[in-house]
Parts: sequence; structure tokens; C-alpha cells
Amino acid sequence: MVSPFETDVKWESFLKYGTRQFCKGKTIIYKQGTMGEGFYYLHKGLVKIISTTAKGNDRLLNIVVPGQIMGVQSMDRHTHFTTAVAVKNSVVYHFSCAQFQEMLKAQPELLSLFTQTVSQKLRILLFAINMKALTSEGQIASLLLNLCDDFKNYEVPLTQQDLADCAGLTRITVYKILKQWKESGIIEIKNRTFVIQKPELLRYPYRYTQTALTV
Amino acid sequence: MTNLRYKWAPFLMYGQKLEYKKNATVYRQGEQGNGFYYLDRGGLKIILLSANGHERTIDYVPTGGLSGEHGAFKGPYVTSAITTSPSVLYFFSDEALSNICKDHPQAAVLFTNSQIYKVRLLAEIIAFQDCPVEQQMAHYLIRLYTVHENENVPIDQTSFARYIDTSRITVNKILQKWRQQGLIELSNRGAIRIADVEKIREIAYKTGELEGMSLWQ
Repeated sequence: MVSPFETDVKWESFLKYGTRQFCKGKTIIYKQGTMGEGFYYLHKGLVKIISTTAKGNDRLLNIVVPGQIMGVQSMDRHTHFTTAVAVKNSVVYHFSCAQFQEMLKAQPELLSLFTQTVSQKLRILLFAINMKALTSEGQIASLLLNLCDDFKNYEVPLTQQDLADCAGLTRITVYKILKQWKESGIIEIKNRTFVIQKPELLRYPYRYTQTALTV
Repeated sequence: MTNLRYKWAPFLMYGQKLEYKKNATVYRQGEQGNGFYYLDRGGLKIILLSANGHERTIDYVPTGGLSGEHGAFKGPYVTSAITTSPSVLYFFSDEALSNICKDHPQAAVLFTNSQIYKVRLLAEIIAFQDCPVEQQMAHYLIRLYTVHENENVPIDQTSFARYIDTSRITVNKILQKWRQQGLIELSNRGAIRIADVEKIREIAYKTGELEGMSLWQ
């Protein structure tokens, strides 16, 4: 299988150690506060990652597309601090802690792949800390950057509807934001997908606070 | 964290011992990584710089803890680490790490657990970002108290303000209030002594009032 994403290819070779599971759209894959036992690889579908804050607000942290890992947080056998919800019908592979340790023994180079994956999660959370309260525009920007940074690929494998479903926005709102970005040359729309031309312009949290003030 | 502290100590002979003065930069955000560190003596604070130059302290590494794991396997450092006192650290290159894992397979699990602990730490910061400042302060004070296993928390008000991401004046007002209530004592050497841990804990975790709190205790 040819994949546009490098991490995808890397994890594919480990799938034989995992257990395949089908998750219907709009169902929970793992829930915040429950004990975790291992992590998941998304093979097909789309998943969003939400964290409920101490105050009880839900905060969308990330979306997961095929080829990505989710739920590594519970590899230390503590509780999940996020909830993963399948946005569309999805196929995942589950790896238990024991399986992972087995894999690590068989292929020590897996530690490097795992470290890269966890570092990417760190970056997502650091970005979220810097962004504090997000406007709709900021939310979409951070979702896109998370994806592109992980895959080192600026072609976004999502439709506008996918983005709307994940961020809890209407498709019209997403369309308006993307249109604005297209006009300022940040993205280019091709058929149903789009390519990020100037990721550095999406990276500045300042943009969104200013937009928030003028709206 | 307490169950991770000093667990890496058996592997120090694989590392390179380094001595730093106070306020020295151990690694810098954005730099290409060449390995990670173990804090043997002294203190280390972890700083996050945003695109607009805003600086936030996100962690104080206790002795016996690892730092900069994101710099292993040539990953760029995602934060910066600065010593808060004269410190002794051990540096581990990728080669050292793979040698440790070859000789002691359980070390890989320790290493991944330490990484995940850092992810948890950030998730916790996000979880408390929308809480009132007083509650955030109580939460972080309890967290520093737990990590350092000591009611004398070695943090000055400027650093505390950078930790909560608020102004020093706000921090000072709340600390003065707590001092008058006898919850804390302020030493002139820039440290906070928690006099009433239970009361501070109560301020931090008003479970009944916040529906998400049970997820973060």
C-alpha cells in the first residue's frame, strides 16, 4: 500500500500485534477518567479527541486521521485524560501495554517511533496551552497544524464537513474561514481537499485574538 | 511522578555527568535534540515560549526526574530548560539510551512512562486554564508540594506568576490573603511554606462546585 504519510508506513508494519476493532460513528472509543490499557492506531475513519476541564467544559484538543496513534497517555496504566469519539465509522487496532512491551523487545527501534509520537502529542498540548481560548478560526487552524506537523505533509486529508463535525461548527462557518484563508493565500483548494501553502501564517495565536476583536 | 523519581538512577553510569551554574540553559526550545537529561542535584525549570515571545513556566523538575525526552532520536526540543540553582545533570545520547535499553529492557518502559507523565502534566495545565486564578494557584501549589515532597515550596512570586500565567500583582494579592488566613508563610528568601495543606487542597479541589473536577484530582 502506498501511503503519503511516513508515520503511517512505520506503524503499519506493527499492526499484526494489534487487535482489530470496528467503531460505529458517534460512539466513544475510550472515555476520560476510565482506566486505560494500551493505545490505538486509527486504520480507517475519523476520530476527535476531547478533554473535559476541571470546570466541566469540553475542549477539543485534536482530530485523528488514519495512520495516527491515539490514547498513548494510558501506557503508564493510569486513567485517560481525554475522550476519543469516532466521528465517522472507524476501524482501529488496539495494542495492550503487554503487547507493546512485547513489540519493544522484538523491535527496539520502536522506541524511537513511540518517542516521536509522544513528542507530537506534547506539541499539540503546548500549542493548546498557548492558544488558551480559541475562536472558531483558531480552532480550525490548530487542528490543521496538528495534522500537518505530524505527517510533514501539507495536503489535508479532510473535507469541510469533517472539519465542521470535529470542531462542532457548521459547514458554513468552516467554508467562510477557508474562503478567507484562500483569499489571503494561506491555503489552496483542490477538488474536495486542500493544501496549506503558508503554515507559518496559521501558527500565530495573535491572528485569532485580533480576528476575535474585529468580529 | 513520585513513582518515577530516582528510577533512572541505576543507569547514570551510561550518561555523561555535567555541572551547571544557576540560570544556565540546558536545552533550548526549537533546537535539534541530541539526547535527554537526568537531574541529579539542583533544580530545573521548564519554559514554553509562544510565537509572540510570551514566556510561561510549565514545570519544575524535581531531583531524580528526567527532562528533555523529546530531544531523543533527533527530535527538536519543544521547551527550554533553565537551572534554578547550581545543578548536576546527567546527559544521555541516543546511543546511551539504546545501550541502556539493550542491557536493561525495563528501562524502555521507564523512559516511555516518563514521557507520558509530561503529556499528563500539560493536559492538567489545560484542564485548569479556565478555573479562577486562586484555584489554579492552590492547585499548582499542591502539585509542587507533592512533587518535591516538602511543604517548603521553593518558588518566588515572579516565577509563580509565570507558572500560572498571570500577573505578579494578582499572585501577590492572593498569597497575602492566604498568609493572613494562616494557610501559608512567606519567607524573605522567595519560598512559600504551606502551613495548612488541607485548606489549600480544599481551595484547589472544590469538587462539588465544578463538574469536571473529579476527572483531575
